[in-house]
Amino acid sequence: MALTVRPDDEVYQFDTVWLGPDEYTLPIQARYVAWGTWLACFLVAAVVLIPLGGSGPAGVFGSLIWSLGLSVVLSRAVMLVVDHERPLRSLPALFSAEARAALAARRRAERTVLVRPGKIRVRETPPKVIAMRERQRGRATARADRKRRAPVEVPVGAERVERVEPEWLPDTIDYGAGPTPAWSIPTDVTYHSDTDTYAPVPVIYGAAYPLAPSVMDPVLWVAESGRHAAHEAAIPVVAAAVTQPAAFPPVVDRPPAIRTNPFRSDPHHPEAPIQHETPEPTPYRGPVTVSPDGAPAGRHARPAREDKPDGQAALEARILLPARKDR
Amino acid sequence: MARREEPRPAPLALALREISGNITLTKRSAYAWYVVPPARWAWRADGDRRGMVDAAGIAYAGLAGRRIRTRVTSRPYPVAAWARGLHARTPSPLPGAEDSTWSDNLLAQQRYLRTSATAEKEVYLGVEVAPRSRITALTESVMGKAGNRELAHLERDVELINEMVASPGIGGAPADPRRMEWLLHRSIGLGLPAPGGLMSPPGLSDQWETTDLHAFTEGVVVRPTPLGRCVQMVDRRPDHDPLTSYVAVVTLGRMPEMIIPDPRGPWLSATDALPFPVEVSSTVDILAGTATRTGVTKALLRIRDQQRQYQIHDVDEPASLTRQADHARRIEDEMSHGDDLVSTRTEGWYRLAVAGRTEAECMERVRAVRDLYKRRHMDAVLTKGQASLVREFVPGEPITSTAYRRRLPMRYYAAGLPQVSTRLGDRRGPLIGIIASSVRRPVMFDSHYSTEVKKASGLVPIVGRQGAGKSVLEAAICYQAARRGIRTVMLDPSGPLAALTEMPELKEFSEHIDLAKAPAGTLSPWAVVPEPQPGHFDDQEQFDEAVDEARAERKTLAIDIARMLLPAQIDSNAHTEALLLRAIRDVGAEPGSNYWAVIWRLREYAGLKFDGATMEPDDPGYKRLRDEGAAMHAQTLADLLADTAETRQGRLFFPPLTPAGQEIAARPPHTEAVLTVITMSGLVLPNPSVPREHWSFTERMSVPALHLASWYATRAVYGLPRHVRKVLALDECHFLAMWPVGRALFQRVGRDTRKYNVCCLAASQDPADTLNMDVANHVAASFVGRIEDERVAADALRLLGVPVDAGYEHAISTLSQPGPDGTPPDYREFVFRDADGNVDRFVADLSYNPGLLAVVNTDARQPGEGDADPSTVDDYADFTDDRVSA
Repeated sequence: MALTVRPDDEVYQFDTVWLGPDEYTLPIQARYVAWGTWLACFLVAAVVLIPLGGSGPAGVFGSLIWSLGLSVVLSRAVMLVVDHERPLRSLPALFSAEARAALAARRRAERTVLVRPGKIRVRETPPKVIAMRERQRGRATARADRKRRAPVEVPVGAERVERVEPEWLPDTIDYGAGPTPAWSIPTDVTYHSDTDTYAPVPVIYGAAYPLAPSVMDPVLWVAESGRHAAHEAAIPVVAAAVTQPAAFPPVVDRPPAIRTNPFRSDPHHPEAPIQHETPEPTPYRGPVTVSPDGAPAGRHARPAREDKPDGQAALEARILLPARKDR
Repeated sequence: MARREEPRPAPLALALREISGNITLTKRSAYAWYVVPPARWAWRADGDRRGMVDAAGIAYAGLAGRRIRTRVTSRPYPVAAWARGLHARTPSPLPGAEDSTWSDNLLAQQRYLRTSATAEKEVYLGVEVAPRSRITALTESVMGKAGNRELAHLERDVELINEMVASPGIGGAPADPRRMEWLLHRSIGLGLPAPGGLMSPPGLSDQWETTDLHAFTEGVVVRPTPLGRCVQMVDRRPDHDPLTSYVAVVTLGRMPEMIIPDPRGPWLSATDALPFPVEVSSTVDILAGTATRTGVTKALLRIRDQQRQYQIHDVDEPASLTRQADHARRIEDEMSHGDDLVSTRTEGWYRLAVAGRTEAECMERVRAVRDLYKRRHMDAVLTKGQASLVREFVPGEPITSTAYRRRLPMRYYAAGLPQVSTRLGDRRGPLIGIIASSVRRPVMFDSHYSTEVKKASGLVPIVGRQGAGKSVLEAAICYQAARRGIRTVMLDPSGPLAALTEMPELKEFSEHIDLAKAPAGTLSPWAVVPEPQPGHFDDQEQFDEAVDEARAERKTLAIDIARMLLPAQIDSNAHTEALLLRAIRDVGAEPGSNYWAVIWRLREYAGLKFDGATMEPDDPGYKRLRDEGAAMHAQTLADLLADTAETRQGRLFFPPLTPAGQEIAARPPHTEAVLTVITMSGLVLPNPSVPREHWSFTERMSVPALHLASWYATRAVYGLPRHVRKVLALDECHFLAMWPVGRALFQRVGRDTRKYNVCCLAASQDPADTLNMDVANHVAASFVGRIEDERVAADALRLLGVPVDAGYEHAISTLSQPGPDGTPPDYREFVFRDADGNVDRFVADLSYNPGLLAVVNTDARQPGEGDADPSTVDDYADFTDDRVSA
């Protein structure tokens, strides 16, 4: 099942070494790029040094010797930086970046580089573009129809898969969703990760949420002092405990019983009779009052099912009947 | 020269020229940006993972010829939004106590999340649309905006890209303005703290303007140092003190051979394991194999030429040369004859940015990244030219350095999978813990997400061996449910969770029922099966069916409980079942019946009166069985049952022989308390591995008591209107699975969870219980704690929907790993499968609520004992099993 994959880098990372002319192997082995660098350095050095070395063969020769030495040192320095990962052609960009950084740093600390948007234009796709694109699509469809000679209109792009956006909870106040409590830790301002302090969020209560503060604002979070303001919760205690979730439709036939004291201290010794939705408790039919011969009360409790013949009972009665006759 | 006092602005213009929808235009290029949704990697089979990599590879191969940019950034967990959502979904929270109001509860969780949870990863994918011609760029510079014709041309290309990016391997969706804004903000202010609210609040406007861009670029200052190791970023916006951070960009270098799927996880997601955010920017050219074959051929020719030189000079060639030649030949073959996935090649640069508040911290983090990749045999290099590398993270900026170019086959690139992320929990409900694998993400569990949102069942098995922390998890879920005002009934046979009812914030709204002290007859089998209520059904037919079902359940329950009460030897007698069946049939299935009637019947079968006096054959009602053996056995059964009624444990099953006693038995268990904890003090459950014959009397009594207590707790579900949210927590469910009647209860509860809007937490030691009880279809979510037995662990994996025999059994057995000295850790780990099917490991952490932690702290030692060092106190020991076996 598992599969081994190798990167392709290795193929491009080999040393192309010039060993020397045929039949004669040079004592030093260097890459072609090193020879090229040396040659370039030598030429540059020669161009610079020969005019400085004075006239005459001695001067020129001396300059060439100097150029040779200098170019060897220079090219070796360059080749220390150059390797398979950092090819020679990537060096100019590196040097320019460092040079610019050095220029910026040479100025005072405040003289920094500001990132500015410049002339960036932000816009939605213009309607004209969308219309233009629609016309293009129409033309393409028409062309395709003519070719196919089939007058079936298939809107281009309709078959594209509509991807459902993954669930993302926005970390901002959702003004449209309903009352917004003010006590949650806001993320609508920049927070300092080191001090971990937060600034308060202004919460708009207005005509849209006339009841909001009394119900939804149990505690106002105060960031500066880090303590709660003394805003008492206005949640109706009993309602909170016994009312049903508001999202559900009310049950018409069985309204929820709301009481002032919803909880009994002892469940087994109620002070007041409990109103249950169930019908009246079944009368006591324990062994003390019910004759064992009496038919089970449940059978008669539901007259609709009374006439149903109980097959198993009949079978058992037939089995047991001879035993009684014997006696 | 006069020295300037005011700093002269030195604007560094971005390459970006225009943002039109999800398209960014620069002078030279246009990119369309997409958001890649998170993908699951953990707890999946190798085949699935390989499939993921291949699908991604095929999708990327479809983008051949284009340059793509991947940006991974992070977004802090939306703590406030989560809290507001939770509050909105809690219509009637309990007010709580003075120091622990509902607000305090939410605030405590938010504070915990702020300090504990890492930011969430967001992955953006930019695909080059088409290179811009010089004419269009010139037109733009004249007109100030891109021409409509050009945009329409781009749109046509973008539609094609949309299709490729939306294919299953990537699944990306075009980035909306909100996302584009976030990406730009995080890229320009690289390494600076995440901004708070961007744009206007949602719902008002989803558009943004150029001025919005100004808002977060103007204050950002970059301070490069020549030949420096990092760049200083300063946020100088006027609304707060300047913030400084140091950013270093690490470039990925040499990469090793890799096994796909990589057992260590995707290589571009490896940094998720680090405790700090890492920004990723990769720029990759996707190259069709046929188009790039020339490059490989050329390389092969150069290798051959080099080999020839060595031969001419009679010098030993490096061994690597032969290897490289072979490799080149294979690549050339792949490019010529392979399919898209095999032949496509990539060339790109992979950069990771880390930030620290100081330069030392930044370098420390760089070391951490390098060490991380070193363990994967990859090089992560801190190169020079940091100032320009930082700019590369901004969309639209060109590549500043061509060094460290990586040439990878498409499969290798696709195996990077930066979108792999861990997502667990419904992100709606209260906090229950933190993901424990590679990242620290919060795990939320809304007890009614499955029933109300997913319209599925609500059965939640919690399995694990003794001490796995099942009860702690149950307590945490039930506590939060109760605080949300959800009716919660907990059955905790061993009893320590009764302390929940004493917590100040719950005390007023909760009730503790100790069944051991309950009136006799509370657990009469006829009484515990709830009578269906007409209001719960749509029509008469359904109601009649439910009534019939309840009657059948009462009979079955009565027979099974009677058999459990009998010693194993008596139970195995052939007459037992027949006699009990007949007696219970005669007694009937009405809620008012009880075991005394059964005893009476049995005595009649033995020719005796209820008080034991002998009946004559002539007496009316004489029913002695003709089979002497059966008659004698009926007498034995009656006597045994009557004896049981006289014991302390047995009296619960037999109501007193008074009318009032009957009424007590028929009373529903619940009151209007929001939290009801039902305990059974003194219950001694047998070891399941010990045969039933060897159980003691108390152990024998405990099993039926547990069964009936479960039924008793379940009655609460049926006593409330159907739509009301309810939470039911049952414990020791492995005992229920041993008897048909227990399985019936489980099936009934599982089936009814959706209809009655119930979340049923079922704690058990063996996942096979759930698998064997035909309730697997009703499982909404499941928690698995530490299980050491391989077979049981395999069952647990089946419950989690995780492939078996893929090595995950070992992972289950290493949850909550004890320390080297054998002491259990201070936390408890679980593997959680949420309602959406995500699976991962998390730590159940209650440290945000010290009060709750103190309640579930079940350290058996008394306070003040010698070794009670506070640092070694085990907050999560599973008290349940300790007390049960005590």
